[in-house]
Amino acid sequence: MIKIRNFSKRELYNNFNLDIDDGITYLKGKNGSGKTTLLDCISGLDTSYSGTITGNENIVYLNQQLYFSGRLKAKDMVQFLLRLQKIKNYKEYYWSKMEEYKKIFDYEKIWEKEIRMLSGGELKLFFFTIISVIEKKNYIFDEPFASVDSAGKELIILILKKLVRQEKNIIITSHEEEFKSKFNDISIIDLG
Amino acid sequence: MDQVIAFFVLNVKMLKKDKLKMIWSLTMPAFFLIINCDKVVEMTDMRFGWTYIIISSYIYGIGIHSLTEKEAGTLKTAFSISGKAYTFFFANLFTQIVYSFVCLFLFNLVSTILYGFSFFYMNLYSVLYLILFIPIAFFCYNITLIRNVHVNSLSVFVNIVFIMLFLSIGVNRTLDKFNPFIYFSNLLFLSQVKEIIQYIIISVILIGGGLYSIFHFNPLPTERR
Repeated sequence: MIKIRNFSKRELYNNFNLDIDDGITYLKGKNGSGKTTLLDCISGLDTSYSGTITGNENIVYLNQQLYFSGRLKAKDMVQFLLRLQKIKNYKEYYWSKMEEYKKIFDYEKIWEKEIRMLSGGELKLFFFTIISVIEKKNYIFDEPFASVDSAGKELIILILKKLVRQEKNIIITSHEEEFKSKFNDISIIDLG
Repeated sequence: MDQVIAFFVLNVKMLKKDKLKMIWSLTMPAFFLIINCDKVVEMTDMRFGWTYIIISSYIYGIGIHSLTEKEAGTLKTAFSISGKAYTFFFANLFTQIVYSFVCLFLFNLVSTILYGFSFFYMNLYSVLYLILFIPIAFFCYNITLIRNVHVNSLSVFVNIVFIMLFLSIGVNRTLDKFNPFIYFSNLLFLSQVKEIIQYIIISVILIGGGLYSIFHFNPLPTERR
């Protein structure tokens, strides 16, 4: 469980307390309600706050800007992100983890493509899949469904369900709420 | 080490896709070499070219590059996995050392053809500069501490100052005293104990400043979310 105590940051949070249960948690809120700010702090990237956050160790955070250069190939991003996690045989690792989803997401087709040649939705989905195969206890996904087509959303939900079965903790933000109905034990936190 | 290699490999792949960068790195010192061809007498006259290549690699490849990636918001996910501020810096440092070495090699090759100097010694001296300038690489990371200035504006400003300092070498003796290019270009000639101690003190200050910026580096962009 992630515990946030006496959390204050800018005008958004003032002595804010929150418990985020294990399992999947949907963090909802209007634009500008402070979702990303809170996620930046939970991820440990932003430490400029007062209060404490505990239980947020061993985390990976998928934000919306990831690629370094559009001229790199899709496989280069897999290599980079998995190498950060000390995985050297990136192709075998990623392909074996993604094999069960091959009918929905043809990663072999985009493997050699330059990132600039992928559509916004493809790119988003691709990054989501890379992050999802990284072994961590806690996962943060900031707007993973944005600009992804219905088949892609289906894939994201399948992967999220698998992570939940593996007893991983997930925090997700989204302005599309339909996905909630696919999970029996989803916690909802409304930031207003 | 894996995480440094991850960033390093990514950097090298990006550099390979950007051939114009290398041409630009070599154009200015080559231009300087050509317009001053009548003044080139010995091998060490190449030191201004070496200095330009190495310092420009460190400023743009470490300082400006790191700030650009930070402001683009690309570092959040990578840093959430790696979790260590220094891995990104050292990967950029190793990348720029390799990149500078390749540029120096090409520059020395051209110089050897034009002037017939020893290719071996040219490379030896230029690699010595590469090592002696490492404190500057640390200091360049302080660019990432700059806030409230758009990275493109900063890059243009750095370009102007950098090229002016380089082109003003030898124009006026009084100005030369304040030109850091002159000081760093002449590092090869350090011989007196006083000069060596001065270099060590400057290096400690530059590395100290760099270490501060490395451990206070914030991967979150300040100009966007």
